[in-house]
Amino acid sequence: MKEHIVSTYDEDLSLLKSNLVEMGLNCEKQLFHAINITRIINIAKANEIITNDDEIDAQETKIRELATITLSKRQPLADDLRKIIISLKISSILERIGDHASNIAGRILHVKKAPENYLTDSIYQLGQLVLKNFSKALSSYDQESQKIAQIVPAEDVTINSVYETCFREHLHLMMEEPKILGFCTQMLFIAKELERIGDLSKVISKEVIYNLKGKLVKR
Amino acid sequence: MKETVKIKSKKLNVFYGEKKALSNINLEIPERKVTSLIGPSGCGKSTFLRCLNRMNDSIEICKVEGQIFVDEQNIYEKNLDPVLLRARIGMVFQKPNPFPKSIFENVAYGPKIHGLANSGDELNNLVEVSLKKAGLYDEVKDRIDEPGTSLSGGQQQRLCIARAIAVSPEVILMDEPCSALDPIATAKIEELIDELSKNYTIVIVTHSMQQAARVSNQTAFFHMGSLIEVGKTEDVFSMPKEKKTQDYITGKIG
Repeated sequence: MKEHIVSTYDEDLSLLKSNLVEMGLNCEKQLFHAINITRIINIAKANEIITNDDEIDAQETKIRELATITLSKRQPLADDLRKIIISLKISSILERIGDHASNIAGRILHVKKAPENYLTDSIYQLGQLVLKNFSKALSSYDQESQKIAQIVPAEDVTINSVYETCFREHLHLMMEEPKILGFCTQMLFIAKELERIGDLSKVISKEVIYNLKGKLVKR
Repeated sequence: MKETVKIKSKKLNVFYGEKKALSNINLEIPERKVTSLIGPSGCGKSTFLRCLNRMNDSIEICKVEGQIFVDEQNIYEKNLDPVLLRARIGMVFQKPNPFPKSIFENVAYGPKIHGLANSGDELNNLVEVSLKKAGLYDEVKDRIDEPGTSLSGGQQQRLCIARAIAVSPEVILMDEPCSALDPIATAKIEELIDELSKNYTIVIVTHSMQQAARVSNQTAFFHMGSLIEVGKTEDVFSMPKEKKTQDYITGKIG
């Protein structure tokens, strides 16, 4: 990768990138914990996730400020401009993902504990797929890899079908055992949050491809 | 709508003595559009611009090979009068260079020598219209007999544009017209370029990527005497095809 004649320009862009990667890792951590507490309910952890979401919001604000300063200072063109544009887009997507993780924690606070006859871990498994695909989207950005970015949308198709299966499974559970209706409803909301994160990971990967190829990919 | 080609260079080579300044340039310039020529110093963009109205004729060691067509007519034909050509293809330079005469005389000079006005009234009218087109009339109408050099830099540059317009050219060439101007005067020139492009074909050499991106419809990138890339301005600045172009417009080490 060629460097700019003005070395502080490279520093500005790499600062923007490192901040975005850091924000992504923070989201990944939040998501990891949020998915774990769907299997083993942990109220303290749920509270921690909700509190930590403020940090993600602050990171988004910082990236916005950095991007604005770089735009006005450098008046970037071509790939430099795209890098800044996608950092704004991706940071706002990450902020949404952070909200979804926090929403999952909120649902867990609501259910407090799992009913004894609720034995499935399908939502946890769905979460694992979502987490893995989100991590892929993040590394495609970090490594500027079109190859990794292209895997993400394909994986999301699997995620959507697993989500459908989860949905049907929970409908059956609720019909069989109306006592766990309240719990299962909350779990279905969690599944929906996960499915949304899957979609957003796909959007990140498309932004990465836009950065590399200079063309917008159809959603 | 299909664009009409106003100027076309074919296999253009230019030498300054032994040194080859331009190598095999094939470029089409659309009519009533703004084309910007960009590239590092010494890349040949100004040389190319000067070929378009045979300004290089005055440089003894300069040799031009190939052809340049304006409306299908080769301007390097032997029997073509360069003075008449320059009336069709006007030029505005980097540093405003008004004649040491009044504002009025600066604009009236061209029409007088080309016999474009039959009476004093006609000439007055032509000067007024030219100054209006150059966006200068309101600022100078009460001091039209004062020296052109008494104006500010930005006003002088617009006076030079008015002078170029006065002989009803078809093409206006601009060689870094804003590099000696402050941002406000620059903005006024850019606004003017936009307005003028409705009636004239404009070719502009600029060192400001942002200016090229703002004012032009087509951008051509020159490097070491070669034309590297030409395309729609929005494409060249958002997704250049050539690596050299990308490195230049983003300011990377070559």
